[in-house]
Parts: sequence; structure tokens; C-alpha cells
Amino acid sequence: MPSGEPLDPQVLAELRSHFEGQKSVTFDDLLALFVEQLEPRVSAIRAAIERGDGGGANAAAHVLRGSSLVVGARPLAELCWQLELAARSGAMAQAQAVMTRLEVEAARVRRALEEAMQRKTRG
Amino acid sequence: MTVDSYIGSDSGVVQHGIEHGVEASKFLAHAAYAIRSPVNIILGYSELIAQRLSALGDDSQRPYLEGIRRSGRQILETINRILDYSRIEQGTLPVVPERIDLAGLLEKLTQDYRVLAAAKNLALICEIEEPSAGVVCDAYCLIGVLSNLIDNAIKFTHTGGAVIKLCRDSQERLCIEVRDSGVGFDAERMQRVLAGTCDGNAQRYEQSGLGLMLTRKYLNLIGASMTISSTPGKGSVFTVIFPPSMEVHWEPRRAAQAAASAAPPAPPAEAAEPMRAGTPRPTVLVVEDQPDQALFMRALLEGKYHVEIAANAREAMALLEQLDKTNLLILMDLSLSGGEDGLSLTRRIRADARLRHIPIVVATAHAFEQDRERALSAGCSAYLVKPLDAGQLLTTLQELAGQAHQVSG
Repeated sequence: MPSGEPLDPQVLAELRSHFEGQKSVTFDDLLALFVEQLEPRVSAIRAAIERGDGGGANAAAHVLRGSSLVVGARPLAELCWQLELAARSGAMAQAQAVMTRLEVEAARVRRALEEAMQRKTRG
Repeated sequence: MTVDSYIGSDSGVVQHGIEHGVEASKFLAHAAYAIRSPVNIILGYSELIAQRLSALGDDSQRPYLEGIRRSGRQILETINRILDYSRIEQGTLPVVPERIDLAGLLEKLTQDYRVLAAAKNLALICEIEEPSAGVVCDAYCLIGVLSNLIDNAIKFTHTGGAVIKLCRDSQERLCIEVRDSGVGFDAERMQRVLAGTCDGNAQRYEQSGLGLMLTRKYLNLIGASMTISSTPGKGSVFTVIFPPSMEVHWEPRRAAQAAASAAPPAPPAEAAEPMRAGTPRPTVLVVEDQPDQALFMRALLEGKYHVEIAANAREAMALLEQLDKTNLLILMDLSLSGGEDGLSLTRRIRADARLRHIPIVVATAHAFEQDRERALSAGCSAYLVKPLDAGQLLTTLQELAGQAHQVSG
């Protein structure tokens, strides 16, 4: 199982600071966009693995990794990286094994982000 | 034996020779353009084959494909040199004198070429004896001269390395010296090759001849000169000499900049003044296909830059047509959807005479050293790895904006 917090609080705090004083875009817009994209991105990786498409799985995991790093979802990014490495070398059974852990972690990240957004709304 | 020779200005060219030269230059320019498209297509297809084989887990053909790409890039480089040469001959290469911070420029070039030197296990050292020396000249031409000299120093050196030094000569003239411990050459013969009175014949002269002829053209345009000194088997020294009339005093700002970038975590607000007062806000074209990452980049940049977003290569090219190209930077993701990736887009921009001066910063979650090398050899100005450090991104853009502003005037 992935260890540690799903989101790095320091990364989130820093990210929030970048949005201070912004008029056209807000911190919550970004988190909402990430949450909205999370399931389609995970599905894209899963679908590529299921059809044995190593290149597709690599590319889809790469996309999720880039965005996970933005919101500080380090364990999720790490799993994406492991999946990229497995998919690049065509080790699809290994990619499948990482995928299972990745889906669990993605659910954890989604809950944590939704909580972060609710906390802010209440606060 | 060490032989010194001197490359000064062209002289004694009769009128019909000039006309003939211009005609030949026009022909060369047409030929170069005609060669460029198919070479780009060859490179594009070999890239595609590499991607497909990699997706199939087959790396056995990689060395051959790398060979095709490397050679293709050399052809494109040569073509760009021919185009520059013919533009100078025709008098259509714009020359815009600007104040240039030589120490800053040399440090950046050294940084840029370090990857190439490291690949051959060579040291590349920058020595600044004149930190506040500046010159007024065309930045594009000067960078062309120095890039060519450093490139040659690495190409023709197999052990040791090269030193790039900003100093003064015995007559107190400001100089940039590029010294290597390479194979060296017969300087008298090189001089004859450059003058066109002797064919290259040997590989050493052929390979550096075109670049050095262009170097001489650039030097003529900016009004500087160069000496060449070499001992076969021991190494070479190329010294660019600036006349006192070109020299200006440049306040070293690097101490302040270093302090700002070293303060952890880099405070973006302090590192974020992109331009001097009174100059317009530069535009950053963000090429990023993931909406959340594009939004993040917008948040980092807005307020300091005018931000435009393109989701793929096609949108990027369409926006590049519309935007003011004199005050523009590109921040690009390497993995783009829509058929054309960031590397290919970079090559396309670098091959376009109207766009090639625009700095391109690549921001990517790719993490292999070869990704960095591929990006830099495709023509990216800087390579940043995600997660992006806001301070580093802003400092990088700020530096590039300053240089681009100097180039474009």
C-alpha cells in the first residue's frame, strides 16, 4: 500500500500562495479541475493496459504524473512513474500490478482534495 | 610550431564579384530551403518509428535511429548556416546593436554546452576576469560566433576540455578566448581555406571551414576581429577581440540575482520583475495540453507576463502568427496531444526564420537525462523538470526575456 499523506501540505500551501491576488483563476478552480480529470486519466491508463498498449499506458501515466506533482500528490506521482517504467519496457504484468495500487491511491487523493476544498468553503 | 593568423575584414572584392556572390547566395538560399523540408520529414518519420518501436518494447534499432536523427540535425544546422551566410551576403540579415553583458552571456553559453562536453567526458570552464565588461553589438551575430567556437572546441577535443575566458590582451583590448586541448590544426592552411584559396581536403578543415567562414562574416558585421593560434596535436586558441569603441561598462547584477535564487524557497514575487521599467510586459505562450497544468502555469505567470495558452502544436503555431514576436517567450510541455509533440514543434520553430529567435523553455515530467539532451539539441533554450519550482521558472524566464529583448531591440 502507498505510505504517507496523499497530499504534501507544503506543496498545497505554496500552490495556494501562487493564486493569491489572482482575478481570473482561483486555487479551487485548479483543485476542481484536477479532481474532474482524475477519473478519466486513471481510466485512460487502465484501458491502455487492458489492450496491452505499453506506449499508451506510458503516455497516460505520464500525464497523470505531471498533474499529480502540481497538487503535491507525491505517492500517486511515484506510482505513475513506476507504471511508466514498467509500460515503457513492455512489462505489462508489472504495469497491471502497479495499476491496482495506483487506483487505490487515486481514490485517496480524490478524498483528500475534496476535503481540502470543503474545509476552505467552511473556513 | 605555433602559427598565428589574423582574420580581419574582407577587402579587395571587385564589383562583379559582389554581384556574382549575391546571385550565388540567392541560389544557395533557395537550395537550402528546398533541402530543409524533406530533411524535416525524414527526422519526423524516424522519430515516429522510434516512438512506435519503443512502445513495442523494441530498443534494438535505437542506435541506428539515433544515427539518422543526429545526422539529420547536422544537415539542418548546416542549412541554417548557409541561410545565414547568404542573408549576410545579400545584406538582408538585420543587425541591431544592443548592450550585452559579456560575463552573463559566456556563463549561459558555457552552461548550455556543458551537456555536450560532458557527453565526451570533457571539462568546460568559464573564466571571467572582467565581470563588468559589456559591448554594444548585435547579440545574434555574437552568439553565432561564440557558439560556433565552443562547438568546434568540443568537436575537435577528445581529452581534457576547453576554457572560455573573458579577459584583456596585452594591448588592453577586451577579448573572449576559447582555448581547447584538442587535435589542433595548421593555422596557415586554415587561413587559406577560409580565404577560399585552398580546398579543405582534410576532415579537420572541411568540418570547421563552413562554421568559421560564417564566424568571419558575423565578426565583419559586428566590427570585431579574431586571431587563431594552434599547435597540431596540442590544441587551439581562438580569440575574439573587441575594439575599444564597442566597449561599455556593465553593472554586474549577478551577485544580487544569485542571492535571490539561492534563498530557499525562492520567493516568486521578488524574482518576478521580468523587465526593466518602461518596457512592455512580455508575453509567455504556454503550450500545454492538460487544462489543470495550464491553469497552474497561468497562475504562476499572470501579473508578471501577458499569458496565452495553446493546447497543442497547431494552436501554438496559429497564435505565433498573431503575437508580437519581438517580446515573446514560449513555455512548453514536451508531451502534447494532437499528433505533434513539443520536440517536433521546437524544431519547427527553430527552422522558421521569423520565429527562431524566440526563447523556448521546456517544462516536463520527463526524467531521463536523454530527454534533456534531446530537448536541448532540438533547440530549447532551457529545460525544467516538473514539479516546477516557481522561483526557478520565473528567474529563467526573466533572464531569457532580457536576452530576447536585447536581440530584438
